[in-house]
Amino acid sequence: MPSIISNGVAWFTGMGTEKSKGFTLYSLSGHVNNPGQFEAPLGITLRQLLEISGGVRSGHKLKFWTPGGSSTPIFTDAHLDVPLDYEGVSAAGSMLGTKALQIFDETTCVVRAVLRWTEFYKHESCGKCTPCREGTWWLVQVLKDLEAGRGSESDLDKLLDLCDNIMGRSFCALADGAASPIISSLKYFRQEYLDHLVAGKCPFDPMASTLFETAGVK
Amino acid sequence: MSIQELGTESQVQIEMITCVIDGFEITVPKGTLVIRAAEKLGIQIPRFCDHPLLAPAGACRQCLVDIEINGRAFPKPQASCTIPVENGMVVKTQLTSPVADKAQKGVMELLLINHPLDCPVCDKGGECPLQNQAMSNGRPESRFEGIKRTFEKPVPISSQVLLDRERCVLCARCTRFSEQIAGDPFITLNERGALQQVGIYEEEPFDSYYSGNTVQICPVGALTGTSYRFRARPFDLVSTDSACEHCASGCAMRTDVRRGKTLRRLAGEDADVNEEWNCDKGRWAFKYEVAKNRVKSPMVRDSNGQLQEVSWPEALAAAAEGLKNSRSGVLVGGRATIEDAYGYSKFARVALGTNNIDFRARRHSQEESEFLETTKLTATYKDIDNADHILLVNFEPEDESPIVFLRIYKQVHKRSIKVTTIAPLASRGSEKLKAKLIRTTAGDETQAITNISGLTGKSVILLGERISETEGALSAVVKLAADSGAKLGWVPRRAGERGAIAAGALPNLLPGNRSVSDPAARIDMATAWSIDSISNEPGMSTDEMVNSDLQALLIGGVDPMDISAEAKIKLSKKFIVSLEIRQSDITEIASVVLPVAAVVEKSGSFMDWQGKVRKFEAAIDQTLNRSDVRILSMLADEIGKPINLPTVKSARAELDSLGNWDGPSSDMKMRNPTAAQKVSGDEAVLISWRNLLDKGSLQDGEENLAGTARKSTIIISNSRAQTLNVRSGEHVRVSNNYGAITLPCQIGDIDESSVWLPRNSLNSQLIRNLSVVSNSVVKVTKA
Repeated sequence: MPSIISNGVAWFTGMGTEKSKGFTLYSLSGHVNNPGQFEAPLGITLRQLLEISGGVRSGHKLKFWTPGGSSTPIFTDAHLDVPLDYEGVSAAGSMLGTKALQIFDETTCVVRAVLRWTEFYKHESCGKCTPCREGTWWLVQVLKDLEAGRGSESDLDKLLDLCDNIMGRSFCALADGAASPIISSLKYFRQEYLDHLVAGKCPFDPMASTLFETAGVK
Repeated sequence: MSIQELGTESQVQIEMITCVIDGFEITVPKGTLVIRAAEKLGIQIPRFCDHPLLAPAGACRQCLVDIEINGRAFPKPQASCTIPVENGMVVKTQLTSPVADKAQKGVMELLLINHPLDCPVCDKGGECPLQNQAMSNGRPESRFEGIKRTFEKPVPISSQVLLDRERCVLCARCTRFSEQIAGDPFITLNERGALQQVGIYEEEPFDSYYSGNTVQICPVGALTGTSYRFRARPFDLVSTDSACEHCASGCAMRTDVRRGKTLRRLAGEDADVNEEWNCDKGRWAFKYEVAKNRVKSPMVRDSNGQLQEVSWPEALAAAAEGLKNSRSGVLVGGRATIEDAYGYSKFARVALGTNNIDFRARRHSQEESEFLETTKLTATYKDIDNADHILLVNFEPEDESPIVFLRIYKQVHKRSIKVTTIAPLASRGSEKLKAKLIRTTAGDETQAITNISGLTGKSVILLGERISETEGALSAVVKLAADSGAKLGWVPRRAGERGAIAAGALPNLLPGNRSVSDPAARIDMATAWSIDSISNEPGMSTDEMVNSDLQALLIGGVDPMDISAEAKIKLSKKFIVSLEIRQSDITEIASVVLPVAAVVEKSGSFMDWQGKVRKFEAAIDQTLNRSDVRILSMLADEIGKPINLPTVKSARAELDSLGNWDGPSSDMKMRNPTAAQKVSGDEAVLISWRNLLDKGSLQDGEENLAGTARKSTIIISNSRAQTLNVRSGEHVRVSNNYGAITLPCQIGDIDESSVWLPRNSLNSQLIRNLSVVSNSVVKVTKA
């Protein structure tokens, strides 16, 4: 605010992209060397933001990330150069949302991450409307089974169909938020779900993705 | 809201909207919800939370449809229960939109994942919107393989309503009803997410007179009535449209019977009367019909003073013998149907040759008789809907006519209309109505009535029957109504009172509002009845008959304790013919007892407080019991002065053919106002009314219902409490020369000269305990 007042509108709108003008706060968390809040012009890319924030956890590479918090469809390393303005993110199939960029490297099990998010939405559901209240209750049970390697490929289709019955059917957007990471993770990482079923368990070492693993604490 | 419903002098032009639903064009008033417009086309969109009388919630999401307006489509399906139609709107329901159809099937599947498959033992099974709509709009099979949510069950949210939380679909109908319709927000949705559940505050149970409606509108079996739970399958019940016999509100009802026994009663639908609601008394008080002390056969008292069962001819002969050639009279009671009341009225004039007939088994006055003879009672529920101001005089609608209360509350909730109550204290009901209290004490209401200003032609004055307990009050009301142009309504407690007036069951009134004092009206009636003449002498009132030296009385359903403490003793000296459904204080002293049908066993009609006729058919036909009018007709034949009313139908037809008297009517003789009685020291003026749920004999045997009756307390003013050095909840004793009542006290907004007790509640039956009910000086002391 003070900078806009002292420098004027032209200064502010001189930054950003054509439709998303100015700057905003990007919040980087997770597997990133210097997590935190970064003030940057709209339209910056994750690649640029990672440069500012010290890059993905040393020794690891980017696997997937959220452009606007856990309720927005996830992106992968293929989206490193997507301009992070409203139009750019939307064109790439997600939403800029809260600009909460959660960064996950290759040690992370996407099924596990999605399950954690879904559990969060189940907990957050106020309970007023059916799709969200009952839907998140069910989604958690399905995802728990999948993460443990129980089920068959048809369960993935069921999961997608469930999301279709939840997405856009509820009173507020919380249920949409619950369905988004599931749908997008299946879009980009369907094979990883199948790997769980083949292995009959989660093929990842959950310890490897923890931050204290990096710090050498077992 | 339709044009007619607004019903004002300058008819409001309502904007009409045209839209298209599933390819069909329909024009509806602005504000109509999509789901309702679809109904008009015969398109049923499945729903759970939607209810036409409750504010939209959009909670269940079962009614999702695709909508576009002027070519612009909503990006996602919309809840049709929350969206009003607009011009240019094109709606596609499950019938024409695969997206809407899949959305509905999806929601249904989600609703069922946590719903138990206990339909075979659930009360709702067979009449369950969830069952039905799962069949019509659900997937054939569930894909849910997980763990269902379970709860401890059932939770009693009151003595008469049980909650099975795992069956609940959280539609919030019950909580919205309680808040928006009854004004009793004692149940809410607690917790979050899938653990959300209906609940009560630990220390505040679901203490509402209207709780049964939540059971009826629950779209699943989550709320059940304690008395009906596990008793019947809906498909074994035979349903009959009926009318409520408990009060003058006039509720349409449905009586469900299995093999000659009433299993339950539900609120019926009548937009002009009870909408879709009723009170818990109407719903849950019907065991009296099957009470052990039902009178099953005629009885005659033998020479040893014992009642002996006899044949009908024997009993009728004995009754006729005692009634004919003696000075006699008729007490009808306030619960007779119009047809039965007409039978009593005609019987008194034709068979007994007297005007000694009165339906009032309660406090009454000559002023009241004249009021009922001369005053046009024009107020209706519709007038309440449109009123700018409602004045209640000695009338507690929540206790004395609960649907009148709901109707006023609706307008208070919706339009914040002004309510003024002339009453001794601010009752829970009048607090809910946000009524302005003009505090009076028994005897000084007249001044308060006279001082009322600001009533208009759109105002409604509603009088309770207790107004007759203050001399001059009715005179003042008549003047107030005439001066202001306000509509006047008189709301008796009992269902039969208005009908009895129409039937001429009053000492000064013949059927069809023909005055006994009007020679032309008498000749008219005598001609209709084919008798020589009708006595021009006004008959005796109930009190007068009880206290008189009349030798014989024919008595319908009357409890002498409703008349006075000494009534039974006085009546025991007379020859009594009692028409009763159960053994009572009257049958104990009667010389002849003739059994009659209870309401469920007969057809007939009641007249509600508006003067609207509420017809009903017999719900139980496998019975030998007959309506009073049939028995009276046989008895009149036996006396040799037939009344020719062998059936309810014939009585109805004859009364209809008489029509209302259109000759000139006399004016009421105006009474002067009285003042309240002077009290000093520990003396107080006694005030009382009957709580809705109390010791009334039609509530006998209904323990679950009694569990929600308001606790009996003595209400005193704060200053009296200080003088007596008692705190709220401590015991206080109210006494007079006759007796005493000791109860916990409650400090209320009551005049310091007064004390209030419930008139006929547990441990507080005033006629029995004190021999007086109001306007009498009693002593109030610390117990």
